[in-house]
Amino acid sequence: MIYIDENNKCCLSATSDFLYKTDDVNLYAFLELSNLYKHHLPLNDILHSLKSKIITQTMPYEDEYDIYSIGRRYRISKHLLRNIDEFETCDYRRKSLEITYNSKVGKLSVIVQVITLFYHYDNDKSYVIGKVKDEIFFIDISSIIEIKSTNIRNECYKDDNVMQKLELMFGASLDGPFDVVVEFDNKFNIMERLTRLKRLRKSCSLSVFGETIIYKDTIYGMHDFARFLRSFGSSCRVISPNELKDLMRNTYERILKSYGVGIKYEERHEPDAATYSYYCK
Amino acid sequence: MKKDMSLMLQLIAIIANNRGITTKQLANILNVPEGVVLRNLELISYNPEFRLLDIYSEEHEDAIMDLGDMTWNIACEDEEDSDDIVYLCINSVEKFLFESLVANAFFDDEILGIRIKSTHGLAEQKDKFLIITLAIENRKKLKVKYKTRYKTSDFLIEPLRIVYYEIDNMVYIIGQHNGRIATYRLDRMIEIKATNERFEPIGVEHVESLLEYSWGMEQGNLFNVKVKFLDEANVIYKVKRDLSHRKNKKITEYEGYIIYEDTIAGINSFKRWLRSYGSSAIVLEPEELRNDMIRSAEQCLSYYIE
Repeated sequence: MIYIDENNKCCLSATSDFLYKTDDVNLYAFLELSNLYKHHLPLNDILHSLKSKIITQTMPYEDEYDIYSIGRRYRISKHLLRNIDEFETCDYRRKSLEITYNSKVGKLSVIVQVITLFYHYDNDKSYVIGKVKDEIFFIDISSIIEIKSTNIRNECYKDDNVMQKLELMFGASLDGPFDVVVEFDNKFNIMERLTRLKRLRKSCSLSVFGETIIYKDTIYGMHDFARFLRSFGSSCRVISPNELKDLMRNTYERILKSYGVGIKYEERHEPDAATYSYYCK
Repeated sequence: MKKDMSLMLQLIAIIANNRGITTKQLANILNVPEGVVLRNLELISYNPEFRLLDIYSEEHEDAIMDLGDMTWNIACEDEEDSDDIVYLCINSVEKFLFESLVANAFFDDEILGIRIKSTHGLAEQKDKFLIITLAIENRKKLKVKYKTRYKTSDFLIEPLRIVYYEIDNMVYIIGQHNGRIATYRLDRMIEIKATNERFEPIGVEHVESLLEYSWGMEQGNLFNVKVKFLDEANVIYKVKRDLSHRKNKKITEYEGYIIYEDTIAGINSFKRWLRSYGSSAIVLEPEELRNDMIRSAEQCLSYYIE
């Protein structure tokens, strides 16, 4: 509210809902952190437009870090932000939504109880994960044509069971679960790479046996995991499950075929005795 | 939010954060004519919730006022701690973004209620950035405690640039050592202290050259590479996205595949990247890399043959 005070000054009461109230500490924390999120990170466009808006409104003094950024481009902002506003308007946390989207078999409309929205970093894609009847659906947000609110209650928002499964996903797929055991050579920076992975995956364990590292985990999304493993080349060997071993074998056969190389079958890797007994526990 | 409404709310936020601000100053900040500022404040007054009366400059109460010199003020309910309070005119998405970032939740788990399946621990490193930035600007050496796989050492570095490599989510410091470029990983610097010891930076072109050719942040001999990527699943989209930062790349599109050519330093990081594409990537040149990829695939296959 704007009013005139006893000194005849025009005053504005800033308690209205449309003004967001924060403090200097948060303001500077935001500016400092937003300096770190350069153009090679998702959501950077909206973040930096927000930053310039905040600077206009508050005129703070800030330190700039000169960080050279090398990486991929993210296209996420446009679809995601357009749809987030629509999801918010439809009160997706409490109400089921009628979502019309382009699927592989054409235009489909489904009533979805949204469990969560999910962003897959490597694919630069965002998904609505929700229950349609009893099935879990992943709907690519960029394929959505229309979102409508319904009067049906959403009883699945942040459903514990599904959220636990999402924790175990290696990419953006719920095929599985698979208990995986993989042997890595303990050389170069492999231990360090696995340790960094462990920070993201509470479900995994790492054990060192001499020159090898045993990685155990429960995962959903075997193809994404296989892709990750391939980047280690011959420094990693899948011990179990058989489905993953088959997937790896097929991939390497296809690679050799693409190079026009005949397949040799004379070698076979066997783990040493100590490692073998660990696998069998 | 409509643009007109947005300007009006911006005005309110700016007045709230800059007490005693004049119409001229408001017009300057928002880069709009004074008339637009006044018109918007007038519009605010049409709202029955608001009451807008004549306003006078404190300094020139007796003079006939120029509209541009009108000062605007705010009275907060919680006047006692009002110096620390900041008002922002932001929409709901921006509000969540602001809160997520401030709470360091950004990239760790959730943003805007969206789960993000990747952790970026940049925020953990933020305290180191200011000290390094100042050292680069003032050409002063840094004393660092640096942890490698086998030991921890103390030494001086001469920092030239901070580089964030998104694909590996790593921050590096490019520095110089005995007149040569050296690369350090920020996460391995467990302690950084500023010193007063100055250094003379070598030419910027050395740093630019390193960044232009290196794959990842690896250094080494230069290789001319030529790789064929098959157009299957979303391979081409991903390859192009991964290569978006490569300045000297050449991509030629054919029916069903693309050919990527480049000059790179850092063959090991490059191989790691290629392998993640499985059978969709076929090295054409150089021959030693092609042979290496074949040998590696043969070795890997041998693990899975019963």
